Amino acid sequence: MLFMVVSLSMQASMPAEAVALGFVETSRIVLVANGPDRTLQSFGVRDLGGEAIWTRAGTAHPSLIVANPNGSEFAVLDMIENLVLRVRIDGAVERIRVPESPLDARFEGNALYVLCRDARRLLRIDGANRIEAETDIDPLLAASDSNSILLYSRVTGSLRHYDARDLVLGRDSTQAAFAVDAEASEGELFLTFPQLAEVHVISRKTLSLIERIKVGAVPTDTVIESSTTLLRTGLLNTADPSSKRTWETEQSQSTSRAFAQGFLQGFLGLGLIRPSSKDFPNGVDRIARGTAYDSSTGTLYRVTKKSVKRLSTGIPPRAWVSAQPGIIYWDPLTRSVKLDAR
Amino acid sequence: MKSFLLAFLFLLAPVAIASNGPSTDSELLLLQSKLTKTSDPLLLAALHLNVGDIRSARNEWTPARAAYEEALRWAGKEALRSRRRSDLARYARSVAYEGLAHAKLFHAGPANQCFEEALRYQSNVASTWNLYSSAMTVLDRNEKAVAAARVAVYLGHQDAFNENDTARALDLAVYQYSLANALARRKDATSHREAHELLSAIISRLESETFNGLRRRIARSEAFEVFSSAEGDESAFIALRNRARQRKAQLLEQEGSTEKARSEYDRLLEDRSDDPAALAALARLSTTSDRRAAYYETAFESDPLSIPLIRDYEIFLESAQGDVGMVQSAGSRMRSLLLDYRRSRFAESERTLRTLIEEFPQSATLQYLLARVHIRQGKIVTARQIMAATSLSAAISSELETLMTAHVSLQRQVGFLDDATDIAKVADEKMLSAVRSVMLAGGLSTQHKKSLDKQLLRARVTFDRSPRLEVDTVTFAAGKVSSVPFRFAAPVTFRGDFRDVTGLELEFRILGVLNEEAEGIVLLIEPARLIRS
Repeated sequence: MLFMVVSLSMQASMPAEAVALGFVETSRIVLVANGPDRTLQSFGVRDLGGEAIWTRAGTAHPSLIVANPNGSEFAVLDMIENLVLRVRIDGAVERIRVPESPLDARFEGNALYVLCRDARRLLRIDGANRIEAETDIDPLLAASDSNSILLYSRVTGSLRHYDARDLVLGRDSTQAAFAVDAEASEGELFLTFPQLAEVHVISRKTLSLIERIKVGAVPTDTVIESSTTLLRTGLLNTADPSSKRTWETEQSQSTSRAFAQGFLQGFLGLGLIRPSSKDFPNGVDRIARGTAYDSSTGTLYRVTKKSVKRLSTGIPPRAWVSAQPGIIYWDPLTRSVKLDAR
Repeated sequence: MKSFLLAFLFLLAPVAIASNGPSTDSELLLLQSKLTKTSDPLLLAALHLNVGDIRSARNEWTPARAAYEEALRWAGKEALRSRRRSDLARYARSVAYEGLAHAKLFHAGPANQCFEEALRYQSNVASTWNLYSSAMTVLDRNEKAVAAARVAVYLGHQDAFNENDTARALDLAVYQYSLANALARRKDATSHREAHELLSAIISRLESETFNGLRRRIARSEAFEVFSSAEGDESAFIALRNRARQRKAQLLEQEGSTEKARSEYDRLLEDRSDDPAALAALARLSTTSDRRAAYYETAFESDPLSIPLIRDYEIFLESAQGDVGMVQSAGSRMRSLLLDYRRSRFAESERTLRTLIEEFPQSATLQYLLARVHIRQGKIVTARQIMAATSLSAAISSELETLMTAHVSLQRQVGFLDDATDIAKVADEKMLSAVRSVMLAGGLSTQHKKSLDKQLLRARVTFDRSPRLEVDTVTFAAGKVSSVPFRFAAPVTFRGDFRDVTGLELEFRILGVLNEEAEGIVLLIEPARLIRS
């Protein structure tokens, strides 16, 4: 290194500490990847203040942790060192070298899919078997299921289906470019466009545009609060740092259905809450269920129907998760994991 | 602001020789003046980054780091301010600057995080991708640099512009240069070919009719200086043309296309006759010693503190006399001290270095040379003190550590000289080889020199064929102790029957070392007695 590392916290705006956090609902295990300490530590969600269940060697720049929904393992990504650590909940760690810039990953069963953005490669790793496929320029992992992986190119707007078993390219289409977030429900994909101030709803089956929803001034992240049911239309919540609030929006609906749902909502007393701009002095740009996050200061908020509560500040962007037990986050002040229980 | 975005690219390009000369002095003054006049935090961040780059190019690491930290502070402050004011375009730009400052300070993780954040708001802005690429180049993450530069070029092409839109054409050329630069850092021929094509395309585009007006303006203003912090289209054009030609010439040189490389370097000198990189390259590529010396002389006048130039010149001195002539300018003093160093005249080297340090007190290059002089004199503690007080690059620190280790190891190997005795000590190949190396490096301590004068050594020798071999006398001039060659000052005749030249042992004293064309470095010894063992 040419220069000594200087203290970053006093000089930079964004939280600089490389800490990532993951949680598996089924086994209720929290994994913390601490870059400065180069450690991996696992904790039981009900004993976050206690001793770690185990500690293992980690990586210098953990950028994301993805949990396997079956509760058996995590994938820790290091985008700088081009490394993926496959970590079983019993503490076994497999270090896997991958092509340039592992940006995102997903588990489908035992197979781990890793998207290496700068190498333009999608990987399928299943034990010793490894398959690779070429992607479009600047890809995002938009959606996945046991049958297919869907990639969106931020720069070209292409949407491409890959067969989940052999990564053979299937259907594709071209949408608007420069979406920054992709959120998927079972049948739909929601792309958030800051420059257009829109969320586009795409059919995952046909890859065609269903609807454009105008949202705020500069939307950056969308979460599906609820899918369309008999009682309610699908509800989206979108972070808009420009107007310093989150926007709850409904998907389009037929008039009769809207009328029926409006009647039922009034009857049952359901309402929408909208935090005001004063609740988020710097705005929030990342959002999850009941949680909002401001990347510029690393401030994490719990958002309920009645109030907005600031949990802590200086939290790295990937060091929190919103889960069933509550919001689990790395608190840089105490350098420990905390749970803000629901 | 765009001009400063362009500027970073040029500063980040790895050029053979960074400019330390008078042009950067004037540029620093210009930047300092701008720093006092502006209150715009983003511009202040940009200016501090430029100052840091110039200081860094001059190997002035401590002020360079201070400037980058200032840039980081201003960019961070502006990021928060613009975010609070909901100016997200400016927020993204500030965060990108923050990322660049982190990269310059070698904070890889935070740099990456900042650019990822900036791209959430400006993934459609080619210059943000280009900055990302530049930052990754600084951090030596070349594949990330290539990928980001490719996106910048892609977006640059998407920006449909007409033939007369020089600003956009210049932008695209800058992005192409970034890509070429990153590709050229790869090792494979395909990437080099692509880099070559891109650079040729940039050069021919800059020489096309699109830029006629700009070239006329440059000719009218007689502008020729390649400012690191290119401001305005004229400066950006000159800097880009210079860097593209230089990179192309370097690629040609690497490929072994010497004539073509020389021709490109000549073209560089047509634009600017004192271009230090071109002069150093032409010196390297010259076939005659006189021409090489002449090019080096001019290169040092233009840029006396460049470490790559110093390294080149030291290689040149291994096979040349390197007469310096009149020693007045900083360049001639640098050449003079390097010559003294080469000849193991360390006191003279140090004296000249002190005068240069007075003139360039912040130069890490001079501290690096001073540390080398101390190491060669065996003053390891002093060398370490210099290293501790100076922010040196990892490569330079490592080089000095290697020198120190080698010196200590050699000193250990000549430890038999710690105490001289009247009895002849048995010397083997390893001991004599160590003595030879230490003497060649001029690293013998005064005590060891005295011991060596006194100490009689004894070793099994093989002589070269004797010029005269008679029954009762034999005359020898040279021979070997295993693989270590030695020579007497003049042929010596030994009395005795030595017709069988095997199994001979010689008692001798070491006088010095000689550099002989045929044998290389040879020990000069004084024989005392020849014995049959």
